[in-house]
Amino acid sequence: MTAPPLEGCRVLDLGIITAGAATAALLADMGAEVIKVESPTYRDPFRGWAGGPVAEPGGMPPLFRATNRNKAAISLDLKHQDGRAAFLRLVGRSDVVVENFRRGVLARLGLEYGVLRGVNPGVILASVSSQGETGPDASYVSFGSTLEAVGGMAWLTGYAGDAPVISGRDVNYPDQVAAIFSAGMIATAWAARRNGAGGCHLDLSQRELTSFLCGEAFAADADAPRGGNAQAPHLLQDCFRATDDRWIAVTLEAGDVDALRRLTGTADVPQGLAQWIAAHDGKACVAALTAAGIAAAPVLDGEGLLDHRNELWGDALLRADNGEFVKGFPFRLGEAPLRVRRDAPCVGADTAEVLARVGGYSPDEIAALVRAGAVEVAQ
Amino acid sequence: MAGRIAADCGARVIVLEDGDDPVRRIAPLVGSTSAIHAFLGKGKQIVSAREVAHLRDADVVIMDAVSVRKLRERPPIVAALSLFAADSEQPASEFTVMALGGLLDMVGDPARAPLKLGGHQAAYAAGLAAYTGVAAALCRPRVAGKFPPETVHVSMLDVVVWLNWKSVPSRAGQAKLTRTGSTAEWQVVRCQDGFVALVYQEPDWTALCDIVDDARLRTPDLALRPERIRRAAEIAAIVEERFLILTRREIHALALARRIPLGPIWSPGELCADPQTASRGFLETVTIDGRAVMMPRLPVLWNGQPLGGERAFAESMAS
Repeated sequence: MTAPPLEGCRVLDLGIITAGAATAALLADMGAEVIKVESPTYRDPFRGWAGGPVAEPGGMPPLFRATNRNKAAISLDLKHQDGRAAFLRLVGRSDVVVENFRRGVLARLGLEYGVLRGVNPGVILASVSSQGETGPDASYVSFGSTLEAVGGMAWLTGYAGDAPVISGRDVNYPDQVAAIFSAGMIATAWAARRNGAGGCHLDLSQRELTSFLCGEAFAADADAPRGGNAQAPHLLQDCFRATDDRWIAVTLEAGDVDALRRLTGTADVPQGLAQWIAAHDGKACVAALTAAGIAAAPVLDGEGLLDHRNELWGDALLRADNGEFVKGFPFRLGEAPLRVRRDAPCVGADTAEVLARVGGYSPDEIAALVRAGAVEVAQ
Repeated sequence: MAGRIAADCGARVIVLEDGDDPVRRIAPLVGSTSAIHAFLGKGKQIVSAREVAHLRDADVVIMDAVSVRKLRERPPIVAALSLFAADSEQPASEFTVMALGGLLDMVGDPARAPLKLGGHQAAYAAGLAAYTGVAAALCRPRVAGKFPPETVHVSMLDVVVWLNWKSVPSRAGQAKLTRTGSTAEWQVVRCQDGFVALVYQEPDWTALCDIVDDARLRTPDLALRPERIRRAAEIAAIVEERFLILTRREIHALALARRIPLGPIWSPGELCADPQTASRGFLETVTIDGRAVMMPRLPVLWNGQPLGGERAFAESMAS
């Protein structure tokens, strides 16, 4: 079998919550050795994130589990001189460091790019930040929907003539895409290093990515008004409610009008189409519209979309051994299939093993670090 | 999108255009040029699809999955894009894919139609996924001058489900998530000159109360998140009352000072003059049809430097 593409790449993951941790998770999915670094005094907040699914007593919180599989975990106190020294020793023997702390945290720990480069000139530091490393808003904090607002995307989202809309806490769209893009840039930097480019500092601004993903709007002569679901070049695009209260999404092209007339008896859009759908069962609507060659689908919720698993979609979600659904992959590799090799780790699960194998610490040295409170091993 | 990123990262990207690419006609237009075509085409060379000889010499091809199967000679790395993971004759669009992936269901007001996010988020996110898969495949060392073979399969529906992973109950019996509109914990409120996304987390509550400075928020029962969720619409109304006498810039300054994640909603046009955008050179001036317009650069600084740039853009427009 072909080796995973990032095999041989060692990543120290200071990432937390979604954007940073999910970036490193994608690197791990693609074969990198990812070591999650937490601290005896600071855990990834996702371990205790409220608002998502609740873990069974003693179980792994589902949101944390989803973004930390395929990783090892160590716990070092980066504010302790010996913990910091251990981290820098690991940096000297790693390829990538991922972080998405608030700006200034890394510098306060004395771990800014210049320091990391001092112990490893080839290191790639990926700083996945809210606004970027520099600028008057560098210290502005955000969650995904903040970025939709300040990045221009929320302005473009909303019902016609009405207020802007955000994706909200349960989607937090910019945090999700940030992980895909950041993993791609890190892979690019690692390939470039192999070609002699040396180490680098990647300054990845989530706000800029959010703007980039509606980049064409910046070139327009004037800000377009919000148009709901309408979108050029389609003649009509919207959701309509069927008689069984299901919402049906339809995209109608100019070339579909004759087919629509034959099906519904009217080419009047949107009123005629809306009335026809309102008089029919949702499933029958979709069947008839798609049979007529018109793009249509039911609006599914998180439970409904599971009905199409292994039919229309495949590896985006996977079923774990305990039957729970876990986050899968946004793409597949034909030669080296991505897979979940390991469940998310508990705090410090691999501290001793990593310090010994990667850091070269002896058992006595590790025991001394534990006694000094510089490192923590899982109980 | 995948090719655009590759071009900015220094790849020579050649578009084999089959006849008249419909993307060229998609609004918004700048003069007679589609802004989307110009944005995605930046840094690329566009040639006729008849010039298939380019395929033989390429390291990577990015194309639809059906066309991949028809290739007689394929480059070592292939990104095969499709709407669905499996073959389907079902007529579909980016919008209906978002419906099937549950993303439409999560955005908007529960009493109104499900809503898509602005722009082409499903398509662009699929492009990000394709680029990342290709970038990973390019990490393998060449053997006899060629990259080892790899196929990166990108299904837009899988990408949407992956982005929307939190909406799926991880096990049976778990509460379903859906759009909650004006009862959402995070929502959009009005201010003096526009709108602000009211985004905050548990540790931000005290700072938010300080900014709003309204006794109704400081009641002990609202100190607990479950009660705040239950009364989200009431909280938003109180916050809005205060924000209606503040501008977005003033709210931005307060949020920056108190380090809470409020989101003043800027338009793309306003962002062209935004201090943060300007200080990082995020928007580049490019010329389309003789007109100077702004476009975002690739959202990464590599050792402090942007990738891509105006020169590459000018070359692509001339091709």
